[in-house]
Amino acid sequence: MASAGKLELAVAWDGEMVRDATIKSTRPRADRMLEGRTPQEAVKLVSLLFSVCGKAQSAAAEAATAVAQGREPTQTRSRATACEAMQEHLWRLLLDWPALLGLSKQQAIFVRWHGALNAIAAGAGDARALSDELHRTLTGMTHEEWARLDSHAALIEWIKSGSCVPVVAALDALESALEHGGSTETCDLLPEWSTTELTELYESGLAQPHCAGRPMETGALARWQHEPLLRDILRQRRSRLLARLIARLHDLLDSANNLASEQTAPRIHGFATEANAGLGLVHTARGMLMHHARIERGHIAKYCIVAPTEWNFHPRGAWRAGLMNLRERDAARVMEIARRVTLSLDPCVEYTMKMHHA
Amino acid sequence: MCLAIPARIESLTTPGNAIVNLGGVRKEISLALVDEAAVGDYVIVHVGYALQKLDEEEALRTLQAFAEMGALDELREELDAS
Repeated sequence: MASAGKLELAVAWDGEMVRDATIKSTRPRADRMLEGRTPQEAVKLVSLLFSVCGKAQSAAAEAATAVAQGREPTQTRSRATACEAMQEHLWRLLLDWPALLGLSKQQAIFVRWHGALNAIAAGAGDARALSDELHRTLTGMTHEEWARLDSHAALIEWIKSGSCVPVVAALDALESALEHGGSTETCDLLPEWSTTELTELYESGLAQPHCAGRPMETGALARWQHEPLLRDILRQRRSRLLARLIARLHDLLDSANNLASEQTAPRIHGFATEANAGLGLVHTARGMLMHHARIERGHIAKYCIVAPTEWNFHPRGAWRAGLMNLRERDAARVMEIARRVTLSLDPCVEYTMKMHHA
Repeated sequence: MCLAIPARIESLTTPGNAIVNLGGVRKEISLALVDEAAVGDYVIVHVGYALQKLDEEEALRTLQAFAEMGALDELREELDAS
């Protein structure tokens, strides 16, 4: 629970297909709480307000305020940020997706791995043992074998082999049954960031961010869109549900392997946008988190936070695109599909969803 | 953005579960993800699970920050409606 901000999702359906999908959102204005404080106070307050995704939020705040003061952002919070993202991925894979698809939740193993990641984040624990166990249990493969899986055909073979985590096979079956492959619209995937794009992001505002004038999808799929396996899934399937789930799994396993080999995958970035102002960007489980801080006379003059949900639940964004023109004659099934699209994009606030006849 | 509002554990129920007080509203949650949580402890709750324990001073400081931004009233309304 512990939320503030809410999404109201609505699907307009005419008995044959989805004609419209609309979003109304309110967002917590926690960023206003930070204005007038010192950079140190702001970073501390962020860690209090956002304990649920607190590692990523603190890292973004620290990077934004460091850059605004002319310093390079550090990667000291990288390990904790990676562990937090992995815990979120596991929550979706082992609890939320099974519950939505009518499978058994895997709570016991989730609790054990969640605890192991807390230990690793604190500098203890055995990251190699956890990485090996994650690969073995979720894929039936070693890290090297998983890395060689590079095509849609190989993915299907893996699913048929029965060694994949159960939600992958279940979602593949449901997605394959979609009439004409699902919706007819797509939303561009957020690219890697250039200075020009970042400046535009910052200028595009908060509640409805865009890039090159268009809404964008953020998340593990955007982060890993150039991986051969994900590129091929995107080519072969119109619907992105399975692609997002596989990208989530890939992000989890890549992070596990990085922790085991003591590599620091850069999840935290900082960029100067103007004098005394900085952007802090962090790859979270849900996608790109952005903090922007402007500092005047040693205090925060302006602060803004753009969460991944603001991208993915943009009124013309990925959620809407995932449902537009979806052909389905059963009202209950339309809502089931809409719930799957919603979970695949994983909003970080409470939401309600309703359907009305177009 | 999911804000982290501290909840106080009021009683322990079935093994591994507890009743917490979230802004004046009571709710049953799982303690599976935290070690040795006891009555009186403050925890951060996320979709039915206690995620981490907080010491009382930090919890009260956080509640004060949320009160300043009016988030507690909004939370109470949400919980009452659900």
